[in-house]
Amino acid sequence: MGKINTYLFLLVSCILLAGCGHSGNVTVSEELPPVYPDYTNVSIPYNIAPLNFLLRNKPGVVEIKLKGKTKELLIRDSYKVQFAQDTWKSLMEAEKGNTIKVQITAKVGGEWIQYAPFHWHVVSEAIDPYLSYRLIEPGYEVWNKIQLRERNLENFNERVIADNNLTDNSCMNCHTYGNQDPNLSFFHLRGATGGTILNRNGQLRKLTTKANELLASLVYGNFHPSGRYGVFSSNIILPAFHTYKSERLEVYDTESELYVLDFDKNRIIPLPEDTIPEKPFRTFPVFSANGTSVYYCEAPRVSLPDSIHQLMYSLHRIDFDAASCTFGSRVDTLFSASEEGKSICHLKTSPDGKYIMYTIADYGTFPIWHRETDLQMIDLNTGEINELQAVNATCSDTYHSWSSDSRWFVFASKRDDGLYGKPYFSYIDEQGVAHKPFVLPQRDPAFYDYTLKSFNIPELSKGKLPFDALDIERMYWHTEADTMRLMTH
Amino acid sequence: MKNKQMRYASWSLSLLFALGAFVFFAGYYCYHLVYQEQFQLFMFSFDYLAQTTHKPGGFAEYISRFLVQYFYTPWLGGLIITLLLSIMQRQVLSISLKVADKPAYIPLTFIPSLFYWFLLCDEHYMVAGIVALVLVLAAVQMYNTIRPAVLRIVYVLLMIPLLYLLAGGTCIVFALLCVLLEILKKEIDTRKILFFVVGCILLMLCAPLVAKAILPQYPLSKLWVGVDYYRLQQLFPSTIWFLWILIVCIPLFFRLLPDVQKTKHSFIWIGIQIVLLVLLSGYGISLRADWQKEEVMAYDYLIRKQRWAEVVEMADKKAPSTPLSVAFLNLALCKQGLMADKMFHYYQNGSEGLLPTFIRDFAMPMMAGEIYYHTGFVNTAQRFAFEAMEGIPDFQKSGRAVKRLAETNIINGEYTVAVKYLRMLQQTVYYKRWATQALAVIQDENEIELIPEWAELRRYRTKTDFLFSEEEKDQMLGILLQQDYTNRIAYEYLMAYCLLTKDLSSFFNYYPLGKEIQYRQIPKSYQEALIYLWGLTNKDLSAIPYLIHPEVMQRVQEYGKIYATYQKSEPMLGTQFSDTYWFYLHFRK
Repeated sequence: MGKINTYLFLLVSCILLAGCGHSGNVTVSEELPPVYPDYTNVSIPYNIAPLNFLLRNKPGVVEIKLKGKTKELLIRDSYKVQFAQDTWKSLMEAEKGNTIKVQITAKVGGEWIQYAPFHWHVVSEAIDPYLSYRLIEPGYEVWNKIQLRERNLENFNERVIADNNLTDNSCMNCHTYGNQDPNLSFFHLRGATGGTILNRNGQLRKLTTKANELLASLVYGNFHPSGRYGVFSSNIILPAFHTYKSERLEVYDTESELYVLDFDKNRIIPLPEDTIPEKPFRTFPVFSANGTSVYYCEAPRVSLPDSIHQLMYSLHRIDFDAASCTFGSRVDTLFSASEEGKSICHLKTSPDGKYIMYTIADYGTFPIWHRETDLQMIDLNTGEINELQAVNATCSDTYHSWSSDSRWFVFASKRDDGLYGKPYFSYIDEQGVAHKPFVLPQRDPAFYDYTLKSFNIPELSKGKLPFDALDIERMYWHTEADTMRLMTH
Repeated sequence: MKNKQMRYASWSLSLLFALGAFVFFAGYYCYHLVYQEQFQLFMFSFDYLAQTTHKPGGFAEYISRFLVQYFYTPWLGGLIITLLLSIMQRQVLSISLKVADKPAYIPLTFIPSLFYWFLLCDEHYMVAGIVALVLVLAAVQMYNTIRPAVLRIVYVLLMIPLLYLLAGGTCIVFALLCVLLEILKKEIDTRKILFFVVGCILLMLCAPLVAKAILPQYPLSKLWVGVDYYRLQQLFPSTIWFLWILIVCIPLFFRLLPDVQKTKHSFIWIGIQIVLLVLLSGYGISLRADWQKEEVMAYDYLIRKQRWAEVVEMADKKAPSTPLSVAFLNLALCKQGLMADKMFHYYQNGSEGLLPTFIRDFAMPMMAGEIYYHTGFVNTAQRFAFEAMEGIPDFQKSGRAVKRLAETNIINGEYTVAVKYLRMLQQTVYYKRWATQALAVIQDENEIELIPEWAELRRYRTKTDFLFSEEEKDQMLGILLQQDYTNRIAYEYLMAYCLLTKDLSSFFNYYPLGKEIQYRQIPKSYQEALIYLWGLTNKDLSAIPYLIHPEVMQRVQEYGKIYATYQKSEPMLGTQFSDTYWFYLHFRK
C-alpha cells in the first residue's frame, strides 16, 4: 500500500510539474515584469480590492507566486492576471503589516522567463472603503455624459450617484465630503432647476443663491468640521486654448471671491471688505481641521489672458470663529507665490490637522492641464514643505483627498498618458513619508486602456452615500430649492 | 400566395423597389450614409458588446452599428439600407398575407419601407430603428408558424420581455400585431383574448419600469423607447409612432379591404396602387431629401479623403454656397496651389468661408477641423475633433475623430495617448490597417518624419506657445507664418483672410511676407488687390511697382469705367467681372 501511495505521489507530482512546464527551462531576467498598471513595489491597504494586472508583452501563460510571511499562493493565468476575491481577501488579512514577494514567470514566445520579483507592502491601516469621483471626458468646453459614481474600494462594485442624463443634461461639479463622512457632502448641479445639492445627516437639500447677489455661481468648497458651515469660492471661469504641442487648455478666473455658507440659517457671509483698491483673486478655500481658520489661495490681479504666466496664487490663512460666524482681521501667508515663483491651488487639510496638501504649478489656477503640476504638503507645525517626490510624476498630479485617518490620500494623476486622469492612492507613514502610489484596481486590468473618461476629484469616504441617481433626479425636477441670502458687512 | 403570377409580380415589385432604393442611396444620397458612419466607433471587443447591449434595445443598436460601420464605403451603405428596407417589406407582406390572402394589395406592403426611406433622408434618423423593426417583425413571423393557440399565447408573453431587451420599445409593434392576429384568427374565446391583451399590456408597462429599477441612470422616457431612432436624444419624433401604427394597420387593411382577386380587374388595382406609390415616393423624396446638406457632406467626404482635385471639379460643376462648402473649396484650392489665383472665381462667403468659427455642435467641428488640421493649427484641429466627439448626442464615439486625435497626438509627440487611440482603432474594420501601420511607425521618430503629411505639419507647427483666439484669426495665421515663412498655406490663408474681410491695409502690410514662397508671378487675386490699392492714391496705374499682368491691368481699367459710369453697375459688372477681387470688394458682404 505504501509503495502504491509513493507511486501515486510521484505520478501526481510528474503531472503537476508537466503542467508547470518550465522546470529547468527558465531564463532568469533581472528586469521587472512589464506589468500594467504599475503595481511594483507599492504599499497597499489590507482592505483594497485585488490588484489585477496584465503583462504588456502578452505572454501565453503567466505563473505568479505570492509569498508572504504566513501565506503562499501560486496562481496560473493568462496575460491578464485576475485574482479571485476570496483568495485575495484571505491573503491580505493574513499578511496585514507584512510584505508580499511577487514572483512572475511567464511564457513569452515559447520561452519561460522569470522576472525580477517585486513587493507589496500590506499596510495594516485600512483605507476609507468608498471613493466618489466624477467621470467625464477631458474635453475643452463641451461636455456630454457626466456621472458621479461611488466605488467600493474593497471590491469592484460601483454605482452611479448622479447622472446628467437624468437632469436635463446639466453640468454637474465634483462631489465633496466633509470629514470623509458619507452623511455630509455636497455637489453643484447646474441647469435651470439645479442648485447645490447638500447631503447632511442623510437628508438631501437643494440650495440656491439669489440671482446676481454673488459674483457668480459657487464653485470650490469645503465643510466646516461641525457640518454647519461651508466655505466656498464664487468664480467667473474662462477657458483659453494653447497652440504649443503639449499644452492644451488654460482655465482662469476673471473674478473670484470667498463666502461662508451657514446651512442652518440659510445665509451667506462674505469675507471682510478689502482695504486695497484692486480686489485680488481668491479661491480654493478650506477650513482647518479644527475649524478655527480658513485657508485659501490668493493672487493679485493681472491682465488676463495676456499675462496668464504672471498669474500666481499664494497660500493664506485667516481666523474663523464658528460661534459668531465671523472672520479674524489678520491674514497670514504660508506660501508666497512671489517668493517661490510658483502658483498654489487645490488645498486640502489633513483630518489630523498636521498638514495641508496642495497642488503646485508654474502659474495659473487650474493646473490639471499643466504638465508640471505636482502635489506638495506643508507641515502646519513646522512650516516645512514636503515635495512628495515618491508620489509625483511627470504629468499632472492633483485633485487630492485625504482618508479619515490621514494615513492615505487619493489623487488624480495623468501620468499614464498625459491626458486621462486616474485615481492613485498613496500611503503616508508615521514619519510623514509618502510611499509610491498605485492606481485604483479594476476587475479588467485592461480597463484603463479603453476608457475615455477621466476620474475627476476622487474623494475618500468612510461609508456608502445615502442617496443615488434617482434621488438626484427627483431633487433636480421636483424639489424646491432653499434660497441662501447674502449678509452685508 | 397561391397564384403563381402574383408571386412573380410580388418578387418583381420587391426587386424594383430594391433597385430604386439602391440607386437612390448608393448613387444619389450616399454621402448622407457616409455621414452616419463618422458618428460611431464600432469595435470588435467584448467590452464594446457589453456596453452596447446592457440596455433595452441595445442588441438592435449593436447590429445597427455593426452595419453602419460599412457605410464608410458609400455603395456598401446603399446596399445595406436597400437590404434592410426590402427585408422589412417582405416581412410586412408575409404577415399581411397570413391575415388575408389578397395579393392584389401587395403594393400596400411597401408603404412602411417607403416611409422609413423618407425618414432616412434626414441624417438624424438612425438605422437602429429599422433593425429593431426587422427583429420584431421576424418574431411576428415566428408567431405565425405556431399552430396551437395556447403555445402562441405563451410564446407572445415570453417574447415581449425578450424582444424588449433586444429591440426596446419597438416590441409594442410585436404585441399589437400578435393581439390583432389572434383576434382575427378567432380561435380562442373573448375572455381568453381579454386576459391575453391584459397580459400583453402589463408586460409592456412593466418592462421599462423593471429596466429603470435595474438601470437607474437612464431616464424612464428613454427606457420606454429603448432603441435610438433619432440621434438627438431629447426628441422622439411622432413620425415613429405613425410608422409603428402603419405597420400594424397594413395587415388589417388586407383583412378589411374587398377581395378583388376574383375580379378581372385585379391587375388594374395593382397598377393603380403602383402609380400611387411611385407618386408618393416622388413626393416623399422631394419633401424629405436635403440636397444642400448632401452637397456639404459630399465636400466633407472628399476633403476627408484628401481628394482635392475632385473638390475643385465638383465646384466647377456647381459653385458651393454654404459657408462650410466654400471653406472646403478654399482648402482644396489652396492644397492644389490655386487659391491665390482662383478663389474669387467662386462664390466667397467672408472669413467664415475660410476658417469657420467653432460652434458647440457635433457635425460642424468634425468637418471644420479638417481645415485647421491642414492649415497647420494642429492643436485646434485636435480640439475640434475632441469637442465634436463629445458633442455626439447619443453618446457614441467617432472613428473619424479618434483617428484625428491619434494623428494630432503623434504630430505633437504625445505617443502614449496616441497608442491608446490606435489600440481602439485596431478593433475596427476600416481603421485597423491605418492604426496598425501608425503603431509600427511611432516606434521610431525617423519613420514619422518619412510620412510627408506629418513631417510637414511638424515643420510648420508653432514652436512657441500662444493662446488661440477665434476673434483674431489673422493674428493666429500671422503667428503661424512667423514659425516658418515657407509655409505657403499659412501665408495664403492670411492673405485670403485680409482680402475676404476687406482689410486691405493689413493685406498690404503682410504681402511682403510671401517673398520666401517664391511665386513665379504675383497670384491673380493679389495683383487685383495691389492694383486696386495703387489706384486709390495714384492716377497712373502703369507706374505700379509690382509686376501686374497686362490682362489684369486692362480689366481693372474696364471695371473702373463701368463702376464709375453706372450707379447700379452690379449686374453689368457681375457678368464680366464676378471672378475678380474688385467685384467681391464692392458687392459681396
